[in-house]
Amino acid sequence: MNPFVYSRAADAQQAVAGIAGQTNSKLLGGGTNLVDLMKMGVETPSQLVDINRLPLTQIEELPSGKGVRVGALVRNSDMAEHPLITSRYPVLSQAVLAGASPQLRNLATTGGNLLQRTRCYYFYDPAFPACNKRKPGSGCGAREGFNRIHAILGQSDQCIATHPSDMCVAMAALDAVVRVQGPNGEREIAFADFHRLPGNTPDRDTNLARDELITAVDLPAIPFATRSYYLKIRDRASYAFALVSVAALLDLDGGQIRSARIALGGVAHKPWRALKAEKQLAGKKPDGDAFRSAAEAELADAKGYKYNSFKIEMAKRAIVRALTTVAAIS
Amino acid sequence: MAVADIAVQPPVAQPISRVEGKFKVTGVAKYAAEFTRPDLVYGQLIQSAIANGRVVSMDTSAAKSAPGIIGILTRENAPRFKPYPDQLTKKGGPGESRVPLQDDEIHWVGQHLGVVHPDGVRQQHRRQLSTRYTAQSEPR
Amino acid sequence: MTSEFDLWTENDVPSGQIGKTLIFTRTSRRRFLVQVTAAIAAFTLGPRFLALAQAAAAGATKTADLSTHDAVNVRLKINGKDYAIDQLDPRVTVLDLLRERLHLTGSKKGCDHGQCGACTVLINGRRVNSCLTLAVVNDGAEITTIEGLANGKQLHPMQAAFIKHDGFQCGYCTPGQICSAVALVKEGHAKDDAQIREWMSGNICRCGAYTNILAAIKEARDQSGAAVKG
Repeated sequence: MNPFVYSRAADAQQAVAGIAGQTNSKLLGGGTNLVDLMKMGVETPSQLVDINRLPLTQIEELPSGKGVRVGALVRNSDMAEHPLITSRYPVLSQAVLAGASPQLRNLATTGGNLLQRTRCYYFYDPAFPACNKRKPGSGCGAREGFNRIHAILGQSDQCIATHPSDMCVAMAALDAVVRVQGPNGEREIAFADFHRLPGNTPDRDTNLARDELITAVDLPAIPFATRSYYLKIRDRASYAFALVSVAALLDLDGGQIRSARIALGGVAHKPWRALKAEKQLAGKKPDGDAFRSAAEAELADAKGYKYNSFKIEMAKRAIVRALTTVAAIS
Repeated sequence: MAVADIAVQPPVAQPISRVEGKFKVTGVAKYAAEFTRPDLVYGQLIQSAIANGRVVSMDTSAAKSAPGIIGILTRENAPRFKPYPDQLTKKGGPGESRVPLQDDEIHWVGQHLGVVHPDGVRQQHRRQLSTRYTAQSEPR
Repeated sequence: MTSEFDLWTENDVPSGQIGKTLIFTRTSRRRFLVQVTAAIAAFTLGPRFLALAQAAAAGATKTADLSTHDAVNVRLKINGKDYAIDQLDPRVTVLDLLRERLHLTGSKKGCDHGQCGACTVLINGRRVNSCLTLAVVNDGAEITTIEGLANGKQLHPMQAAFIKHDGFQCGYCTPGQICSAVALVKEGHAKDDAQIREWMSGNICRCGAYTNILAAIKEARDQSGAAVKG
């Protein structure tokens, strides 16, 4: 780990001031990803601003029934078991509990989970020369290499990495809103706009500015979110990243789907909202044929590589299974 | 009592009260890394970043001149070790045939090319020590 | 193809003893404070740290400059004892502080990357991987390690259960398993076998003692009506 200078912020303004104008300062929350990346030599900040004392640890109802606000420093374990989350957004609770381990969830924060970086093997090994995310222009080792955990949707020639978070997949399905604070004040970032596709700039994971602090995530009120489910498919029964995961919600009216929300994990550089599938499901009966047909539509443009083409069929079946499970929730 | 009447326990899968059990569950039992001695020297590894090839040169002057460094071991100054016994290293045998730090060959990523020995755990500085090496990578 | 590699090896033992470590027990602390009250602020808080604390306490609307430190002072209560560690490299993790500086080697370094759970300790009552959390971030925290679970000579029920059910072979994962299991039961996540297995999945055992670990946890859970520490 490279030597760094340590600072501790008492409030959001101090935190933002601490990183404003700096090119190599980072905010430190739970550290479960950042400290790991620093040990690997992938992240090498010269200054860390500790934000663990910031008063951003509340989960509270928004006024006028607008939903629930989750502070950026709420620990994943606390969020997953908070009554407001378990009762109103079970898919989010399930997603968080599907990730990492209890020890990691006790340290990991909402904000940090949003910002966690890919676990691509080539990204994680600084001795490996070709990684456009670490070193723009150096190439992509995964495309012709071992790419089992890599993307099948939304990738570019420069990068086929996937976003590893479970929490983010559920938040994508819920159309959460990320609240941030910078030197010029506060702003909101729609969840679909928070994480980026790799394009020509794989070195940039998100649209958060370098000098911005995440303060909270707002979960909009979604009455039908109680009919939701998170399905995670992985090599082990627990404590492994997703090969493919699905966050699904169904708004059912009698025997018909009024609307569906589907997000996929493990398949792209960002949580993947399955908008084509959602559109196709509106007005349909919630049966296997409709689910499969919608899944086919969503994965029609999927492209696999030598070691991950299985994800295409797996994603289709995962969508079907998740929707079947959700439809059966009374 | 006839021999057949005596119940015989199978030799495996029996619960055994371990003599070291109490030490293990209290954190008292010591493992390899937990033994220290006053003259213990630590080594920091210099590892290959390429998978197959040869070391062309190593420049350890920057590391050597940093304060608090006892020494640096590379293929140039490592003692010559005897080779491993034949019965271990012959084809099909169980042993590693390569003795470390004896030649310029690189066979895997992470292979040890050298060891830097700082002056024990008590460091008075946090500067980065740099060891530059040039390697030629070759296809297998 | 010839390439140049500039490989820096760092001073990778940041827990080395730069400066003094003060350990004072609860009984002597009051006397100690009386004797060195004037000096203690300067000793445990560097002048810039103190300024930051004062500014924050005053609730100043003007944002105080963030003070920066390349060596930090940390106060921790570990297994009931107060420790003041000054001039610590901020890179030092709780795990390295425990093992290298304080010689509390019960917590083990299995992977150093938060993947095995051998380093599990309780910080403010919650189980965490001590290898991924920096000591300085935990300034002021209460930490319980495997060495702190027993009550003098009396083993914690979880420790006794691990012995009774032979919940280990080599024992290297055991301190982490036990600390994790103590927290598991307190969290209320030990309702049935499936839940225990899932919620202990952050502690891996290369020897494969899982069956017996499960049995031990269930026994300790069933006894948890008794007074337990941790």
